[in-house]
Amino acid sequence: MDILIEKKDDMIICRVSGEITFSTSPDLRKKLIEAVDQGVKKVVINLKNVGYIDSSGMATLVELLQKVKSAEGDLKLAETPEKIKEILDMVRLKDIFDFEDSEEKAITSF
Amino acid sequence: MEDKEKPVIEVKNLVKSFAGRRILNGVDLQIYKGEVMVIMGGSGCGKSTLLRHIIGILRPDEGQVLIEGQDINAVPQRELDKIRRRIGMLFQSGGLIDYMNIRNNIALPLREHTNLDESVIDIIVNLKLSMVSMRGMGSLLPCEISGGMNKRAALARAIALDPVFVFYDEPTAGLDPVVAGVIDQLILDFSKKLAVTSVVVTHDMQSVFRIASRIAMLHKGEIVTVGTREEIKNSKDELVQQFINGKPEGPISFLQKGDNYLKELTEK
Repeated sequence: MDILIEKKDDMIICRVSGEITFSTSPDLRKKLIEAVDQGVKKVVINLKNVGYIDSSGMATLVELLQKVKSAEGDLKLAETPEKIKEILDMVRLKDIFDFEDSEEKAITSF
Repeated sequence: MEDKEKPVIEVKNLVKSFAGRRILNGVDLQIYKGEVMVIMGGSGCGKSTLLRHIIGILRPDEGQVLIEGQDINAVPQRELDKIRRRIGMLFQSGGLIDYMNIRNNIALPLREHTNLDESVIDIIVNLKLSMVSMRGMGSLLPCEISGGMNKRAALARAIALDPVFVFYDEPTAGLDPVVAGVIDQLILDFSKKLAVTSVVVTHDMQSVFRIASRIAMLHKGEIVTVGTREEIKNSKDELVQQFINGKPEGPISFLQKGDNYLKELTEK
């Protein structure tokens, strides 16, 4: 799994590619939690190139969403593939995340 | 999502006896990725014994079990542990640890096999509880919930590590029809959305025809037929028809024969 993080003021855009699994999700968590702890309030996670997400990946996104919201910020998922949406839907996570079709839309949606 | 090219689980000529009584008598079975294989058959026909061989709890007297081409009775322990980590098993009795609450039961494999932060484990446990419709019940002990809930909690634990193979021994027994339907839907979702390969041992005919990609009928320690739902429904085999329609009369006999009946009755 590769993670590219771009910072713009109080926003980060995180582009993830590969599979978010038990072995890779701790790295994603560490990088994103670090950013939020440093005052980032707007988080965009681009999942366009993610082929699979397991429970630990989903839990990481949930934890991050909760953390950002507690800091009165928000998190948007951009370009989420249908397959990933289906997996999120199995545990009703489609209801709690905001999905945007494009990264641009996600950036302007805050 | 099924890949019909190569089986991910192969059972080859499996033979097993207990105390001189042959339980499995040369079982052959191929299971493909993403399919839900239902093994059905009368009580005592060897279904659970077969399942226990496939997950490597029992060793066969003869024959092999191959998972993704690896003979699970011949690989080194380390390899077997790797294979087992990718397997989830729902036991007939549930098998929860009775002094641990439901949350800790589900968290146990996550704590043992991953380096995840405890906060992530907590959320995974909540996600699994949600999947089995048991949100908010994590703090209860197994003895504080019904048998059906115990089974659902055990399923949550079986899928804690997102296994690619899940084995179910009577997953819907003792559950009300709605909860049984929820469990069946989960089994189907795992198969369709995550390409999980499932092997289900069950007597529940409604469930069989709801979830099965293919059905194998085990009788007297042998696989007597394997087919799709339609093939099994339309089978001309008397044994299959007796079983799926629950007819008391037929080749599956529950009447014990023998000339020693009077002697057995008067024995102490």
